[in-house]
Order: sequence, then C-alpha cells, then structure tokens
Amino acid sequence: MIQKKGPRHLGTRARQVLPLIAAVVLSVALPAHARVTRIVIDGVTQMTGSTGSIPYEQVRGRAFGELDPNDPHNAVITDIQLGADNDGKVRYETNWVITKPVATSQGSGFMWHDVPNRGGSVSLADNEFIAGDIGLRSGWQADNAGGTGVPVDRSTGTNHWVAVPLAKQNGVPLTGQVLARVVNEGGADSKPLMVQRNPVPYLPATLDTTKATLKVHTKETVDGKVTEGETIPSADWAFAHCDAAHPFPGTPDDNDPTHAPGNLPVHICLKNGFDPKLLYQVVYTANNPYVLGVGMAAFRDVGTFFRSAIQDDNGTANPIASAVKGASIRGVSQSGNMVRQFLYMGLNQDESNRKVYEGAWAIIAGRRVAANARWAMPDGVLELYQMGSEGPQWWVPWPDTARDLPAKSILDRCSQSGTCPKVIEHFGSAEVYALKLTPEWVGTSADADIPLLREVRRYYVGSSTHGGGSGGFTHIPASSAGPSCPGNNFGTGTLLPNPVPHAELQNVLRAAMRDWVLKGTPPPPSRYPTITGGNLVDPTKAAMGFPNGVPGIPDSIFLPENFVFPVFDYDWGSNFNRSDASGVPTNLPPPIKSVIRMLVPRVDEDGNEIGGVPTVLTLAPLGTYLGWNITASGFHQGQVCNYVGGYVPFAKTKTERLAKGDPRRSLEERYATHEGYVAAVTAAAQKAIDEGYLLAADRDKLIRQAADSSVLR
Amino acid sequence: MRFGTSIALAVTALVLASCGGGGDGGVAFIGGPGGGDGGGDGPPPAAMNWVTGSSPLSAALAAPGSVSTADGGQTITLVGGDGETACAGAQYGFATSPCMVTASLAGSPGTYVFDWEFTTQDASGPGADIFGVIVDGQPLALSDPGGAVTQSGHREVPVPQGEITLFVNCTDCTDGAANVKVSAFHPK
Repeated sequence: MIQKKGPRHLGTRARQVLPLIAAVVLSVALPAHARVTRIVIDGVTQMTGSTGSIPYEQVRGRAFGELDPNDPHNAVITDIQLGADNDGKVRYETNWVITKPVATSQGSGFMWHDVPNRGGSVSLADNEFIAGDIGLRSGWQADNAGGTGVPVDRSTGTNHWVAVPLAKQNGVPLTGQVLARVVNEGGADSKPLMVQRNPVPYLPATLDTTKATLKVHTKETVDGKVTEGETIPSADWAFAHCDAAHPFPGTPDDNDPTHAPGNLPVHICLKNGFDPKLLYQVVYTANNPYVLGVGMAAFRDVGTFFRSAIQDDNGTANPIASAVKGASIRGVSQSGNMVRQFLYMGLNQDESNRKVYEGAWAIIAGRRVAANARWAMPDGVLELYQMGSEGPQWWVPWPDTARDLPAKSILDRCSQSGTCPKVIEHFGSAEVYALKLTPEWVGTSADADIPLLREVRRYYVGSSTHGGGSGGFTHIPASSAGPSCPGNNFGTGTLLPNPVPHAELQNVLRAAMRDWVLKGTPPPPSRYPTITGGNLVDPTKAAMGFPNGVPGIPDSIFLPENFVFPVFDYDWGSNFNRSDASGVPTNLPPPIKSVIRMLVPRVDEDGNEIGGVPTVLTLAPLGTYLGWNITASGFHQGQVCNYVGGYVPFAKTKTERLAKGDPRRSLEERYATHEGYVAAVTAAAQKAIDEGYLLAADRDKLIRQAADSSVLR
Repeated sequence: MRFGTSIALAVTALVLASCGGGGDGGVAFIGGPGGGDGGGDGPPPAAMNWVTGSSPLSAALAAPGSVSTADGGQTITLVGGDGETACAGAQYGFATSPCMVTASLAGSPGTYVFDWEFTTQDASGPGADIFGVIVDGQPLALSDPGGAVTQSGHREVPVPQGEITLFVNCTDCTDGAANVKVSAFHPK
C-alpha cells in the first residue's frame, strides 16, 4: 500500500511546523540565489528632524556581488564576458543607504528603491516618512567620473557609486573612439571635457594628438544641421592643462588609468586659445571601457537582496529582512531614464526569476539611459551625438517605422518572464520640447497615439519646466533674471523661470503607487495630450495656436532650427544594436540618417498648454507658462534653452497691456480683484481634487497661498 | 487622427460584418432599427434607421453592452461591454480589440452633424474604452484616451458614401463600462 504524503494527511502539529521549516529552508536558500553575496554595514545614524512620529534611522554600507556571465538573465549586458575574473565570475561592489523606521513593524512595508542621479543624493519625501516607508538607494552608474567616482577607500556616506570591471580581451584593455565637446568657452586656459555636469569618463589611450581629431563648428541647429569650421592642426592643440602661467603646450594630462577617476576630467589646451563663438569637437582613442551594464545588474541585485534576503552568505543580517511587502523602483530625470532602461533590459527579473519591484515610477523621463553600450556616457542627455533615444521608448509593441525597426516595447522582456511592474510615469512640458519625449507617445511615425497598458499610468503637467517649478502665486518675481539652462555650459534663458509645480501631483502619486502595489487600488486615470484629442500637434506657431505679440517671444523661436530638440536616427555603426542600444558604437560622430518628427501640445489663447493634469496655476494663470525658454547668448543664442521652462506674466491692467501691445487679457480683466483671483484658485483646486489629481491638504495650502499673495492687491 | 492601417482593416471588417446583418462571423443584433417617437417641437425630421449591434465576443460578456435610439434616430445611446474577465483576444486600449457595440446608418451621402457625451466608469479612464465613428470603412476615434473620464464634443463628419457607424469599443472590457450619448444627429 502506498502511503499518501502531503500536509493534508499530517497531524495538526506537523501542519504548524511545516511552514516554519519551509521558511527556514527558504531563508537559508535565498543568499545563494541573490547575487549579492556579502554586505558590509559601515554606519547606523539615528535621524532627527524627520517628519512624522515614527523614529527613523539610516543604515549605510556596501554590497559585494557576483554575476554569472553565462546566465541568460545577464546576457543582455554588453561586454559581460569581457569583465570576468579568472574564475569566470563578474564582480561588483556598490554603496547603499537604507532609510528605515527604527522599528520596521511601525512602517508601511513599502520600499522605494531610488535611483541616484549622477551619483547624487536622494531622500524620502515628508509624506513618505509619515507613512513609514523604507528608502533604499544604491549605485548603478558605473562610469566612475565626477559624482559617480568610486572612492579610493570605498567609503560610503558621500556619493553613490558602483565599481564594475573594465572590459578586457585576453587581459588587454580595449580601445575605441570617444567624442567630446567644448562650448561657450573662451580664453587661453585649457578646458575640461565634460558631459552634462560630470567629466567624460574615458582617458585618452595616447596623448599624441595626431591620433585624434579636433574640429570646430561655427553653428549647430537644434534639428541637427552642423556648419563645420576648420580642423585644428594636431600641432596646435594638446591633451594638457594650461593657463597664462603655463601656456601652450602646457602640462600634459595624466592619462594613467590607475589614477582614475582622480585625473579626470581630460583637458584640452589650444595654442591660440578658445573662441567662445565656436564649438570644439574632439574624437579621440580611449582605453579601458567599463562594463557599464554590470552597474544596472548591481542595482537589481541590491534591490532583490534587501527586499527578500534574511542574511548574506556570511551571516550578516539584512537590516530590513522581512520588512518589505512591496517595492517600487523610482528615478527622476536621467534616473527615470535608467528605470526605463532597467525594464527594457529585463532586469526586473532577478537571477532567481523573481519580480524585483512591483512598481516602477519614471519621473520626467521619456527615454532610456545610455548605460549598456561600450563607451557609453550615462550622463549624456540631449546634445548632439548623445545616445538615449535608441530603440523602443513605448510600453506596448509598436512598429518603429521611421527607423525601420521591428515592433518592440520597453516591456518585452518582462512580459516574457511575467515580471512587469505597475508603471507610473509623469512628465512636464520641458521634456516635450527638449528631452525628446513625444516618440514615447506617438512613435517615430508620429501619426497615432500609442495605447498604454492597464498597468501603466501617464500624467502630464502642461506648461511646466523640467521637474516642476517652485509654485506659489508670485505675479512678478523680485528678480528679472532668467534661469540657467541645464547641460554642459549652455547659458541662461531670456524669460523668467516657470513656477508651475509638480509637487502636488507627486504627492498624489506617492500615495497612489504605494496603494496600487500594496492594496491594488488603481491610481487616477492617465491624463496627457493626444493626437486623437486634437491636443498634440506639429511644432509650429500656427499648428500650436500660439498667440502673436506675447512680449519677449520672437517668431524666430518657433523655427525648426531653434525650437524642438528632435530624436535623431544616428548611424552608430554595424556593431551597435539599434533596438537594444547595446554593443559597440564605431561611427563618431555618427551620421544622422533621419530626423524624427516630433509633436508638441496645442495651446490656448494665452499660450498655455491644453491637455494634461489640471493644475491650479494653469487653470488660474498669472501669465503664460512655457515648457521652453530662449537662450540669451553664446553659441546657442536664440535657440530653445536646453530643458528649462519660461514665464511671461500678464499685464496687471488693460491700460498696461495695451501700452505693450500684449494680446493677452490682463489680471484685472480676468479676475477683477484679489478676491476674484482667490476664487479662481479655489475653483481650480476643487476641479483638480475632484478629478483625483490633488490632495485635500495641498488644496488647502494652495488656497491659503493665493489668499496671502499680492496678486491684484 | 487615423488609426494605423492594420487597425483600420480590422475595424472595417467588423463593420462590413455588421452591415451584413449578423450570421457567421457577423455581429449579433441587440436591437432593431431605430425608431423613437420623433417628438419635439416642430415637424419631426425623417426618421433615421439605425442598425444596432454588437460583436459576438461583446455579446458574450457578462454585461454585453447595449445600443438604443430615440428622437427619430437623432439620439443614440451606446453602452460598452464590461465583464469580470477580459474580452477574448482583446488588448487594452487598442481599437483592434474585437468587443464593440455599434450603430450603423446607411443614409445619404453628405455631412452629418452631432453632439456627443462620453463617460467611462473604468478606473483606468478613457484609454480603456474608445468611442468613435467609422465613415465609409475608415475609423475615427473621437474620445480622447488621454482626456478626462467625462468628455463631450460637437462634430461635423463628411460621409461621402453615406455609411456611418458609431461605435464603443470596450477594448479589454473590464473594470467598468463606457456610456456614450450622441444627440442632435442630423444631416447638415
């Protein structure tokens, strides 16, 4: 007789014990699967002054991990086979910081794994402390330069870093071509090679300038037309530091790779000095590429370790073991692009086939960060010849007709493994104009709205700058200075800073993501401009319906050469995978095969955008809020000011506006009195809260701010 | 404003089936030709004979949706399908999804004018349910997938061949139905 087995046939005591045994077996087994093999805790700090009643502490340390380059989970990583140690494993070390309730039982059980931006700090928001959330951040950007530089002593508590292997062939470092640019710089002093705000991370393999090319551009348009000037003779420039006291050829750069990153940035010294009217573009041979994708995998492994493991291989306890019931990856701007690239690479499936995060929130980011190609520069954003828009940017399989690529989506890999998270994305207007957003909405053919998934929410804050403005109800700011244009020495804007905030929407979305993951409560419906709705149009003044005569806005800004940074279909060479944005780019600078059609939101009679989430400042405007600004001077003068927004206040009275020839109604014509303005704000806030895009506490705050403001007083 | 080519072909096929009056692969009628009372001030306009229907998969939903007409065919109310389980073969947000209710009119060539009001109970909002028209086989979505859960509009639609179909596609057909009221439908 065969004896039946299984819990159903066991006694009560056995049924009680079995789950315990299973839990113990699981906890023992987990460290072997989680590829973080060891953690070190470097410090624990009690947090004071944090919002809310729950005591918090911060734990920081390092994680050591290893990857099997032959594991299919890691096959997507460019050069992973070239980063292996002698035993065949690929190893990394990264810092991490956990912000947690001292007693995790007091917490919400929800963990945010925040993606640091260029190595910088990230903090939980006030209402996340109040809710008792756990915050985790760790390194991912493996280019080891500036803010992402790996400390020599591997210390923690400063920047966020991850140490990954260099790609070597038979022990010999690889070499390849790298492109860097210097703009808006003048004088005899040498200039650093920067990408965004960090150094170009690759040292020249040789200081011999005959092996490099330095060209001058006399003009570049935002739609990719380059006017080339001279090629500077190799004898007239050097990879060197120089200044008036140490003139050309100056002191040669230290290109010893063992001194990196301390010997970055690479400097260029010109015999005849730099002309601020010109752009300088150098292509040189570099060596020692990082296996950048290992940094992405390290982020995955750290996330899955802290949410799932009890302890590491050595028995060091996970400080938040068993405390996490649900988790979301979250990144802002370039880090949001990391979130999207992370999902594209299929990294939300860990090596044990588990879903790492139930949620993913990409904030003001509509592209995929360049962090998985050889010689990639993850700091790059929108400037000419920077990667980040290659391959699918959308959430459902959709043909990439303009680039002749097959139908794919960001979620293809996680769909196959059943590990896709719930996704929230939110944007502002600056991403449309400068950060190459709209192919994410309408594809490269720009002729149809690409549907979302039920588990993807999209929110758009029209007429807002990158990350949102400072809010408030200031009609005329105390300072008339324009904002700085982000990017590599780009300049400043002619128009005032745009105050339209994202903060109130983000407060809604923080709670929405937590409740979506932990309780299954759906977030508010998506809100964004569409072709179907008639609110997404070609980027011309006529198609947008932008009014004539708005002070400070010349018609020239609307020209294609000045207005919208488009996606370029670059030819990076045959060793580059155009969908995955992986492999090896070999064409530098890459020829532009085509310029992708971009769309922008339609605007109302004031020039404010139509469509998107209702916000108080755009429903009760004090002026025209723009997702763009105009570069005041320098090489980019008259063009869109990188990705910063602008603001053109309304006149206060009809007499004033008529004197200026301003077609927009004045504040008095709109609201009559201060009380009338407060009533408009109150109505706008109520609309936003009724539709689910504003919290009651923020409604009350906004109405109070409007009442306290000087508008029409 | 147009769907992609493949979407257009798919919807066209469905409409052709609808115009064929059901049968194998066609739509199941859920109401007869529109009648209504034709009431109102002044002489009633000539009644418009709408043919209402739903696709077989929509009819199989727990709440299969419905179409009704009134006011001599000037008012058409379409309620999209909804169910506990998704419409078979459907894809959220795609007009190629096979669950839809329709009201078709084979009238005179010309331009038709109407007002419309759309609202959806779907927690995901209007991206989940699509209201639109198909004119001579060419679909045109009118509800805005990125807009508010309640929308409205006024439309003039050239109908060169005289065939126009109003539709609500519930795409995956879960989490709440859409309701559309078309009113003052008349030739210009």
